[in-house]
Amino acid sequence: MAPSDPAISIRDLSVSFAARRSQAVEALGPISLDVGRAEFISIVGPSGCGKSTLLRVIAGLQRPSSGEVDLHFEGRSVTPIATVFQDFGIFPWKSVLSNVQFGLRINGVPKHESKERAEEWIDRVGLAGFEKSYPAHLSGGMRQRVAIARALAVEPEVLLMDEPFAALDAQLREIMQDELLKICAGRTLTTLFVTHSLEEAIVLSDRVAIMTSRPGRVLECTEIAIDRTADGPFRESPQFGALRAHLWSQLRVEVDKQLEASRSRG
Amino acid sequence: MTAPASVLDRSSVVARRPKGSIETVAARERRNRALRISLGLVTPVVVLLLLQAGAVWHWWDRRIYPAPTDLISATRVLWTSSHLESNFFATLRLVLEGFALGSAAGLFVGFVTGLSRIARSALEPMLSTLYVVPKIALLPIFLTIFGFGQTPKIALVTVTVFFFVWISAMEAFATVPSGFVDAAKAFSANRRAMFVHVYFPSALPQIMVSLRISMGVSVLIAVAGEFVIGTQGLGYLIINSTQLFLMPAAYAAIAIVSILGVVLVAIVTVIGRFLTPWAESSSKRSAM
Repeated sequence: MAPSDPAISIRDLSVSFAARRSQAVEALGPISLDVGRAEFISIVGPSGCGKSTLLRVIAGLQRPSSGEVDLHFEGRSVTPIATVFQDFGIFPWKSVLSNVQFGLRINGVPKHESKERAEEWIDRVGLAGFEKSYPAHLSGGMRQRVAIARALAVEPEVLLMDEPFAALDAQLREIMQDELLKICAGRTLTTLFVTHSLEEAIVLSDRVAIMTSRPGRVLECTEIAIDRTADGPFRESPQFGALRAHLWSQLRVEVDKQLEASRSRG
Repeated sequence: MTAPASVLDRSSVVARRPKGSIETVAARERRNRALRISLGLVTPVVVLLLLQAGAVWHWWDRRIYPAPTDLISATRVLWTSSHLESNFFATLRLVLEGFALGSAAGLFVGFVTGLSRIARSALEPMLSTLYVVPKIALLPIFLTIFGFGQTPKIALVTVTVFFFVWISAMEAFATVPSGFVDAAKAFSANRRAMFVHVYFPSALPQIMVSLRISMGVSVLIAVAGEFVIGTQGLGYLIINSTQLFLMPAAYAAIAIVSILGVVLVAIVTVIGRFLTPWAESSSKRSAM
């Protein structure tokens, strides 16, 4: 199942933190995972299993303790990786337009061109007319769309999303999921998507990686073989329910373990 | 026979009603706001009227505690005797030069100590200790270093402003939320971009507050310096007029210095609002 031409290859990656008494705390790994070009992989796992740490290592915000991560870029984008954070991602001191332009401007895209591209993406995420607004005056859903537009405006090859829809209400979540699917379709965009929601993972992904309790390893990678071009509400189909039940039975064990571990610690 | 209803019937109705139609409530709200604003004006006017009445009707000695209207004529006298203008501009220049130098130095050192742990370790203990030294006590030393004239006073204002701005700038730069830093790093921002797009704007609202405070303090310290080195300036005018027992002139100079301070602080406030349009302004919040 592993792709022959991976965009991201993770080999025996592990991350540990220095703790008191010079005893390192294992946070993540060892993990090995290949993400194919244009593949969409969701990562689900119990809280504190290191999902976000994994993304941070891939994004270059944190160094691995051992193992290696290789990113293979074709070199066709302004910045090859873009990250959407759960919160704090967009700058309150910049207008919507300046936020979306940010990645373009600091990487030397001329003012005029970056403005055009930013406006195009603002339009695509449905925020036309809000270019001059500051994030403080936008709703949570609109702010998250600014973050997504900002990430996609640099036309990245790899998109990392860390619970991007967690702060949104349930209806808006579904709408944003559909919008993200539309945006990804027809693009060579490799996406790693961290989420707590199995439904979200199934709806969006080519594969769903379930992680174990801390230190997180990949327990299972499940292929979501569905035809997204087919009409009809996939979320209501029996196939969807079966997938969800299967993933949950796997995940349940790990969540219980994590709970047990935190209980014995506390 | 049934008892009268008023005796047996203990039921009661607690009514929750609006205080009037939407229009009347809105009208009342408008009236209340008008009242609050006019109260802000009425209080000082009443105080001024009382001061005037007390002086005019000899509740106290008008020569020592002049009437507000006396200040107007005193200002006119100060103006025509021509040294008000030069003294005013001497103080204004002193304030602006000291403020500019002090805030620039404070910003720079605040930036360095806020972002570099090494610089912070090297400088913070020493500067924190120097911070509590009463700056006015340094004036005699500045006199021996810079001689008479404006320079020792500029140095005094500069040093005072420096510490105010340094402390808040350091805190502001050191506490930039890591989420913003990560977001910019994720777009592979270089050091310059990090400063221009993240550190500086994130720290700016707090820095603007310290600049506002510093501007007020600058006026205070400038006048104090002019008290001690009495050669020129509004502070000199105040102390000189008092010594010559020209009380209206002294009060007029105090009033002018106060207005100068209010205007300068207001200018910094307006510039701050202009530079940080994303920040929620305090006047909007404190509308109660």
